[in-house]
Amino acid sequence: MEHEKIIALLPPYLNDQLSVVQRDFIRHAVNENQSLQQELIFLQSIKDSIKSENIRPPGDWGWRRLRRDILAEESKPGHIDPAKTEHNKPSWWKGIAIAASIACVVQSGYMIQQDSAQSKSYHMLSTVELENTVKVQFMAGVSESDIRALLINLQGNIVKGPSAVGIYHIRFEDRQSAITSLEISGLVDYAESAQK
Amino acid sequence: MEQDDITLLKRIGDKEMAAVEIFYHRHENSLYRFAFKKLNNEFEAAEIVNTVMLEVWNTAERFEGRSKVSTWLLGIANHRIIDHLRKRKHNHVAIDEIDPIADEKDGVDMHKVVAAAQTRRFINGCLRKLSGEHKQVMELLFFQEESYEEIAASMACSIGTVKSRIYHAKKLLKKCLEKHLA
Repeated sequence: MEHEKIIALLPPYLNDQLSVVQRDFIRHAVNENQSLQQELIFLQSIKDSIKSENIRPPGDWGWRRLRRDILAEESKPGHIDPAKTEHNKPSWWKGIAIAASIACVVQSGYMIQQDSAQSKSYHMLSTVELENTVKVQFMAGVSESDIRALLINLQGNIVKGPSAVGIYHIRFEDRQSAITSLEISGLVDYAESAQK
Repeated sequence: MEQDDITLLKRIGDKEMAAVEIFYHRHENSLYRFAFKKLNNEFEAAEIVNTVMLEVWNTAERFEGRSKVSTWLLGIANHRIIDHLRKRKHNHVAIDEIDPIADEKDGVDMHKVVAAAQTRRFINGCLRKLSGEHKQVMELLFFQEESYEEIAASMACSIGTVKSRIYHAKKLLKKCLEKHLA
């Protein structure tokens, strides 16, 4: 193999990107040739120097800035969320929507037929649900997508709201740790147990 | 469990803020270093990182998987850096196929070069003297450990240009190191 071609293979050799055959070939060539040995030492020195160079990225402030810019972009008038456009919706969504509508109609008909004596069980179910529910008011300007991201992260489900004053009732598996997480998220004005 | 980049991009396409946060922290270092090498300015490099990540937020669903995610990202960064420099009417933007290099004679004393290369201070000083493009190509080669093909994709140039830039960067480094022991 030509000397220049071997030289060109030295960086991938250092980066361990060669096949076993190529690697053995280069190792042998380097052992046999002093100028290749010098070239390899030179390249290794460059690599070590670049790898150890301390260049600090923006880190958290960079992330906070990006987050702010994303939220600003999302809240621009006329902004179209590509994830919500017709084109990007999965094909099965219409079927699910129709099924949900039918279920809603059937359930409504069933409930109308219930006598008032059964309202007690309905009330009890609500009480159980409240045990894991948190009342949350998000800060002004927090976008829907941001809320959604937070709730996915904390595995919460909105069970009610937002009210006229912007209060959500959100159910979590672990209410207390969810309240703590919400409070330190920087997105909520307050979060408290819905059960008094 | 740590999610791979493709999964994260799908979640970003669905506008999940938590996904872009993970993605940002995973890639900010390589993006920032790449931009910094070219711009030599930490604020401008941070600006590039922000611009690229905003573009990821808006176009994640368009990633087609033809290259590694890191190569795709650095390719976006490369375009944004060129745009940035054009706006500043910076005269150092070389998007042609030939590197502008000083007319140097080829011969160097490799004994001196190798001896000087063992001294971190010397080699760091010489690396800093390279042009933005030469710094970038060495960064991609030895920090990102990209192949010639991946570097070509990241820098939007041919493999021949990549090899040419590496050749000239090495040549300039050797000259610089040799002077330290002259």
